[in-house]
Amino acid sequence: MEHILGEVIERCRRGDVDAFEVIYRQYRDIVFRICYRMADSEDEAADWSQEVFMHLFRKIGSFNGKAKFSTWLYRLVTNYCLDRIKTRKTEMPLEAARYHPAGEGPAETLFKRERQHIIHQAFEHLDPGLRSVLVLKDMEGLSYTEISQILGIPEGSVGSRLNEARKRLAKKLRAVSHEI
Amino acid sequence: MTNDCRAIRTNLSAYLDQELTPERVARVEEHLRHCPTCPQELDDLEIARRALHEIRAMPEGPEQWQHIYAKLQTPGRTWSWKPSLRPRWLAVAASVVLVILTSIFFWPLTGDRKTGVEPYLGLYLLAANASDVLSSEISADQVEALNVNFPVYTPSAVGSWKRERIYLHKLHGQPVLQVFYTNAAGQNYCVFQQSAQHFVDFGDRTTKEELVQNNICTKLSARHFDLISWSLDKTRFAAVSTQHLDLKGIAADWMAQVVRGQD
Repeated sequence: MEHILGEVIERCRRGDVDAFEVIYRQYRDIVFRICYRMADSEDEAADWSQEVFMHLFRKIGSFNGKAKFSTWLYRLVTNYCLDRIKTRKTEMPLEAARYHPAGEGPAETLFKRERQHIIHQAFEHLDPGLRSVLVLKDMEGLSYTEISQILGIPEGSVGSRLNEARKRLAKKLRAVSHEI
Repeated sequence: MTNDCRAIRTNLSAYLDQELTPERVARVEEHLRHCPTCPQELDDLEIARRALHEIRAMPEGPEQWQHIYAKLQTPGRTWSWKPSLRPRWLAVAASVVLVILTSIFFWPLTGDRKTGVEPYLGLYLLAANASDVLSSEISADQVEALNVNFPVYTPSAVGSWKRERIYLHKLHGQPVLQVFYTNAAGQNYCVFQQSAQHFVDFGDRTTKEELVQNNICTKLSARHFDLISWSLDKTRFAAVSTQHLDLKGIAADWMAQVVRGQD
């Protein structure tokens, strides 16, 4: 795949929009997933992911192959999301609209749905910097080495940020579960 | 908490994620066997980790290639995103200036702050759509009878959102519905709804960025709402407030402004 990707990237560098569709198809899910976890709504995530691809097309020439393309892309998407969040600090999450239950089958209990909703709320109220490390580790399943490359921080800092993020999340979950 | 506890706790997430060397794992486990407090810390981290695994399910991402392709093919589009690289002090200075200017701009429009009533909600939109504005409260049945070609927005989210009232606005000859909701938590939601072909209601401002440039978004979010959210096709936006607004008062003043505007 990396070999094919190399050719595709080269074509994209030369401005070949058709070649870019290969990149889009290959990484569409990753980009949307990150945007979705960092944005305040599904609509916003869709907007962001579209803009990320525009940005990616423009920036793809600067990919130098030192890291894996996916790592480079993760970095680009994460930075994009954090920057967008920074520019709209005064807004608050649209918690209710973000709620997407894991399944709609009859076996799913109301309790589970409510619980998932609470987790979503607690997660979305975390500081974006902490949220990003949770997204990369607990949702994308990346290693500390990959996360350190993506965020540009030492591996040790990945662990301490995860510590902080998880502690805060647990605290929020506990607070909310006491309220209901 | 001892110094040993502090040293161990910095490694607990890495321990959970199996990112420690065998020697460090042994050291952490040895400590956990004897420490009265660190196991609780570990439990908290594990609770958070498991909780996130529960919400991994995602809605399917939208198919956007046609939009992206079209934009990339169009020369001169201003689609590129530039990271914010300006110094922090510049942002702070800009914020201060913005706050001062906003305060001056809104000073004559200040509502009854004691009760949280913001009476000039309508004015912001009216100012942006200076002519041809008519508004009236209507029932859900009337909406259907009007045949405005789109159903009244129903939030797909959890909770029982109570629809408070619906207004029909005529902006530049086109219908726009304004629907007020209150959710179970007492938060107010106000949705302006229009169909794709009627998006011309906002004049030429057909994108979020352009609406922001024309201050509609800023004015709304600064005064009432914590979030303005657009639908994917940019034909609908929802404004969300965590304040306890007096919807009745807002609506009444909206109407008063409309009437004054017509005079």
